Amino acid sequence: METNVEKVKITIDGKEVLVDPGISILEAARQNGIHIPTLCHHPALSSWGGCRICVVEVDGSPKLAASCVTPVRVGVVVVTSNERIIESRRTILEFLFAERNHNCMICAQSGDCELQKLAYELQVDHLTVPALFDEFPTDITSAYLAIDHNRCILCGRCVRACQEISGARVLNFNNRGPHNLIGLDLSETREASTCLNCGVCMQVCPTGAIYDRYRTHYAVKGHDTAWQTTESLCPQCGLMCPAIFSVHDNTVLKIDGKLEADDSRPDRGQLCYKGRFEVLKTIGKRLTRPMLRNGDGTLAEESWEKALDLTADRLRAATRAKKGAAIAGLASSMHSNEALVFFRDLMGRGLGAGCIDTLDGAHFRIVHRAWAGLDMPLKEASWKMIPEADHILIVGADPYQTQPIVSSLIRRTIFENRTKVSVIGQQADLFPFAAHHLPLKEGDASLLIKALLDEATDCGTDDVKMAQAAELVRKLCLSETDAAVFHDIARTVSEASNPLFITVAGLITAADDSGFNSLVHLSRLKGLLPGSTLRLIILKPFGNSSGAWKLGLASEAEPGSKGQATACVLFLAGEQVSDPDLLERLTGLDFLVVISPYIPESLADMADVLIPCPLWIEEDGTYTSLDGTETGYKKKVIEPPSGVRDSWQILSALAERTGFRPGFDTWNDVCKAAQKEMGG
Amino acid sequence: MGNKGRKTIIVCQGTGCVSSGATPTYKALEEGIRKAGLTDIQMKLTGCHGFCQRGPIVIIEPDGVFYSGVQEKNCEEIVESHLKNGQPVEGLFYKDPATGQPIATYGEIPFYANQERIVLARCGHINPEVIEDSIDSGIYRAAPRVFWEMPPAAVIEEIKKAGLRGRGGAGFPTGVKWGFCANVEADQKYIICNADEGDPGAFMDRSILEATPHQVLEGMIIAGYAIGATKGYIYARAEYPLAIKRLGIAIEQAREKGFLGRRVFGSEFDFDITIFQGAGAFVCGEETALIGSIEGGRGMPRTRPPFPAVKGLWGRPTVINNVKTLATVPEIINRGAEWFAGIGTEKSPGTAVFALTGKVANCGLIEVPMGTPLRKIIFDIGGGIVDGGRFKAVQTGGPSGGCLPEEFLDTPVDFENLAKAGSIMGSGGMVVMDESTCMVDLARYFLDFTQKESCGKCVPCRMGTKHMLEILEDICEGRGEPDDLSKLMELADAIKEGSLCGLGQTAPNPVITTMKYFRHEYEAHVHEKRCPALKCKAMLQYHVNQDACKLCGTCKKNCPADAIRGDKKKKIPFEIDVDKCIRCGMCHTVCPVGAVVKTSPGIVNDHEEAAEAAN
Ligand SMILES: Cc1cc2nc3c(=O)[nH]c(=O)nc-3n(C[C@H](O)[C@H](O)[C@H](O)COP(=O)(O)O)c2cc1C
Ligand code: SF4
Ligand code: SF4
Ligand code: SF4
Ligand code: FES
Repeated sequence: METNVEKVKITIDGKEVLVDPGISILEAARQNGIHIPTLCHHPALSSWGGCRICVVEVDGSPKLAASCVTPVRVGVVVVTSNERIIESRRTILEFLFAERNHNCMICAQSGDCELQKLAYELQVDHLTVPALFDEFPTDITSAYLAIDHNRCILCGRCVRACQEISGARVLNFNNRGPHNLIGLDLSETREASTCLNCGVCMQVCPTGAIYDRYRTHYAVKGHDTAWQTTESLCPQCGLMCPAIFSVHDNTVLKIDGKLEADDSRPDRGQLCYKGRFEVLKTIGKRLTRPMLRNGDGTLAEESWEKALDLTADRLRAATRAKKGAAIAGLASSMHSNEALVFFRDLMGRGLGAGCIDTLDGAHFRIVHRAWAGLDMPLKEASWKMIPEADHILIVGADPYQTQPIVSSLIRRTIFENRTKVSVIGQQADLFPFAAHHLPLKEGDASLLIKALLDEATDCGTDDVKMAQAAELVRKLCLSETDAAVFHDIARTVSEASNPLFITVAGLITAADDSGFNSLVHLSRLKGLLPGSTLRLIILKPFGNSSGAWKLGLASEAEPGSKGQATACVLFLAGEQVSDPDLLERLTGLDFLVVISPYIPESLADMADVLIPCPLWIEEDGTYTSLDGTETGYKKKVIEPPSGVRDSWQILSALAERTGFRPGFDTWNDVCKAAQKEMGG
Repeated sequence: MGNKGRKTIIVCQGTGCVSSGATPTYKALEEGIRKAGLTDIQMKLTGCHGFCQRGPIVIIEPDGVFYSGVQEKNCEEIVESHLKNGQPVEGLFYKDPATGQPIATYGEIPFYANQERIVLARCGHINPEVIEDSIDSGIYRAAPRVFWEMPPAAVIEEIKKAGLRGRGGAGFPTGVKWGFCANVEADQKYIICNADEGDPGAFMDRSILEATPHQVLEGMIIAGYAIGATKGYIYARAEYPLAIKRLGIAIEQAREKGFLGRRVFGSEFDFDITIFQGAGAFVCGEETALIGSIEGGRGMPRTRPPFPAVKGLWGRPTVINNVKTLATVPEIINRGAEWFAGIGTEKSPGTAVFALTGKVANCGLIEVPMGTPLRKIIFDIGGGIVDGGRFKAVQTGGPSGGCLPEEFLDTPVDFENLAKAGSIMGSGGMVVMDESTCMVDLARYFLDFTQKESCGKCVPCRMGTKHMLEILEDICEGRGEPDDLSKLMELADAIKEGSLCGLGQTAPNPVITTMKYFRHEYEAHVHEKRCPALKCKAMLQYHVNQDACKLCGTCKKNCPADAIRGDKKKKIPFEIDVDKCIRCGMCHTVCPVGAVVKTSPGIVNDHEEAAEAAN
């Protein structure tokens, strides 16, 4: 690949080296193991050249050059360190320390701060210029992120990250000269601003100016060298974003994205508010020991043996009494493929359950039925194709709620590629930038999409059909303006040569799935993407929905169609059950056992047995991507709370007690089985 | 114009004259002529004549009679005496400040007689809002010639041969810049006219845009053709409403004539121009910041390379030129490179336009051949120092420039010589100072400006200028420390060396040059707590000269601090209590006989310390 690039010969600190043309002196130095300090530079962001810490001497010129923004030239002679350069860097640091009140003792970032490290490195131990700082405000209005301007060095990394990586464009510089201040929108507080809480600004901030509101005091947890870091992935939405977990004392201190400058992942390794903060939140009361319902109706802690024995007895009894249909197994699609395979086999082959389903089974069935109607087996499109589309139509989906990185990618593609985006439905974070926005009325949704299909496909060809469609649209749309927007969307769809459709199965069509079918049909008519792929991205409600659906955890038939169950095993992964339909189905059972990391508040009156299980950061396992094509390995980051057994142990114990031989004797066996089924 | 005998009355409508009342003057003249029933007289509005200080200016052609300071009330006399009876009104003639002699025609006024006008040639002689006027005066002659007779490379060659250098400050050879840009392949290129003009007190570009906008448009058309750009932007600060209005009219008229738009002048070449109004930050005049600002971002400079000529607006090759640079281009095409190269000096051919301000008798807009000595500009054209004062220094280049003392008066003004002396050509501000200017205070003023205008992107500029300002303020307020001077120099070096853009790199210049040429003033401030120019309030002392005092008591009555003792009736002499005195200078101002004396005695016993510090 690099063979046809003519290398450039340069001299750095007396050493002749060959480097690629066009790279910066900083890069050239780093590639050759020469350290140049930096502050405003960040490898994942565009070069800025503002802090001037990285200055070097170029060809003996009296003017020092910022190495991060100075490209190499043939034969250039660079000196990266001498007395004059060090002095210049010290002066910069002194200016910065004199500019704002960097009170390290009370800073969350102390020990993990690039400014502080540089002061040690350059041995700045006092200031030769007077401190000139004013008092600046600290904005703690947001539940996620705080900004303390007293610690800001105005390096602009956050501003660039917010624009270049998140695509949110919330942050900017306010005022001029020494009155510069990082601002949100037009000087809003963080809470009132359009900030999306992705936290990428915090991740790139070299100081403690932007910090999170959860476990603020990194300082008391020791320097970053004392932490363990685990590189894994975030399994919460199916995008499987790489994530770096910093852990101390079995506590997750922070989660960073694996930021990248290039587009090897189009999202460039950012994390969303879920990936970065969900784990840090305290969500509910952890279940640390099994609980059984007593004679007096209350739940009380019990030993593992007793709880498992009782559960196995009751399940066996239920099977005996009413044959297969007696037992229902319900699992969260947040579990790993391994846990799901084991659960499925235990419920099906082991206990002969009449119904095995997931919490998002209803979504699955809509997609399943639409797929069955296709002329050939097709794949779903991957979210990674978003930057290549020339038009994106979002119907009923709200990516910021379900897959926030998808919304970030759409925002960026609007700005960077000037892609037209049309939104049908609610969409607070995108519609300020979208070309079209059309409200979606629940009852009419299917008709509206059907009308879109008709108009977009017949556009300009069939006058009678067009007139009929126009008539229908007038009825469906609230106003003339809306109707005009509708026609414009239809025209854009029909003219687009590389469109993408984004939707979610459950949102628009809980009862009537003809709208979903119309959308599938419309995307089919716009031509397939390479590899028999439909131009349709289906956003799914849980992190491993695709995996669960592929593994057959979700039921094709409506639950209850094979007769009512009398006992149920509910396998939760951290969520609380709030769906009224599900709650209704769970009442009146003879026996309900809930396996869950948290006390399931809404089921506290119904469950007969509660069995604690780990959260996803506390277990290994594989997850399947949103489009069902990739599998990623999620590593265990911390140990579960003491007393909690892992899923493998719980399911094995139940298998053993119910006399089921699953065919895997070790965790490894399950992994292999899951892998085989996922086709990996 | 022709038609001998038919009189044309020219009323200047530049911003300067308008603010001194030219609009009512115009109306009154019009009204007077109508009432007097004079039919053979044409009224004409023009842009700035350059002699703004004497406005409103009225010229009667073809006589060339020059009236200055013509107010509404003077108009009747002009109509009656001059227009009706052919008797010019002597009372409204310009009076030579040196001799007091009235001078009738502008050709004889030294302010004009000593200039050589190329860029400003038409200023004040044509109506900027009438395109035919411009065409009659020779504008739009070069552009069609270029299209039919010269391939783009030949145009660039011609500009190179003429040796034209950018008038926006740095003096980069314009032909070379165009050549870089022309050589880059791109789907789109741009030409931008830089009319940001952020230097305090500068108004050259504004005046040109107001007086002869078509000349600038023609320059842009030629530049666009030469580099292959089909789109032009004029970046004008929003504080220039009149210039923007006239530019808008000019662009509209040029489009109607087919000089802009598709196939300009019937050629194969499309070219159009958009006005972009800048928010008025000084730093937005820097080319990369200017581009960022047009792109919709915040005006913050970025490092070059890549230079705009290679990667500019929206990432496309872009040439940015100053208003004056572009206005010169058509003249070079019309009259040839040799003609242009023959004016001025070898390395800096052509003319220089300055906004001459400060303590000179004649302030205004001037144009002289490069190489004209400062003395000629200040004393012949500028008419010397006002009120018989003594010349002390001249500042060129605005906040990025330097201050030159008397020994440089014979320095020829061009890029090289000014730079050698430690100042710069800049974009054309020239401020003349007399003995009443304190050089430390002046440096403080400029630094206050630059540190406020720093965009804040790079640390040396953002913080370095603030630290320098802090020290200068201390010195001016009598809190100077002996090592402040070396600290200032260290900071100046750090800022010059480390800053990203020209603003920071040149910000210390006013301090460096004043420290170099007027070090004794700094030393007086620091070591003796004395301000030789009697400017820095904290170091002043007022006392009453008993010999001159008439015991009228006016000073005591007006003192806001009740610091004056004495009694008129009891004949107790008036004396100022230095401890109570807040040095507001009120007594000094109100004393009818000038008996209140302002001094800056300083602290004598600081001498030892001073000597120590000097070692
Ligand atoms: C802080 C700063 C302010 C500037 N302001 C102006 C300006 O107001 N007008 C201008 O023409 N050039 C200004 N310049 C110079 C421009 O960057 C650029 O060099 C110039 O417009 C090029 O035109 P020229 O080649 O015709 O001189 C400024 C430069 C700096 C560093
Ligand atoms: S959290 Fe994200 S969206 Fe909000 S300001 Fe930071 S980078 Fe921008
Ligand atoms: S908040 Fe942080 S990242 Fe943003 S400018 Fe300040 S120091 Fe830099
Ligand atoms: S030198 Fe000053 S104005 Fe220029 S980029 Fe740096 S901070 Fe901004
Ligand atoms: S790291 Fe290069 S200027 Fe900041």
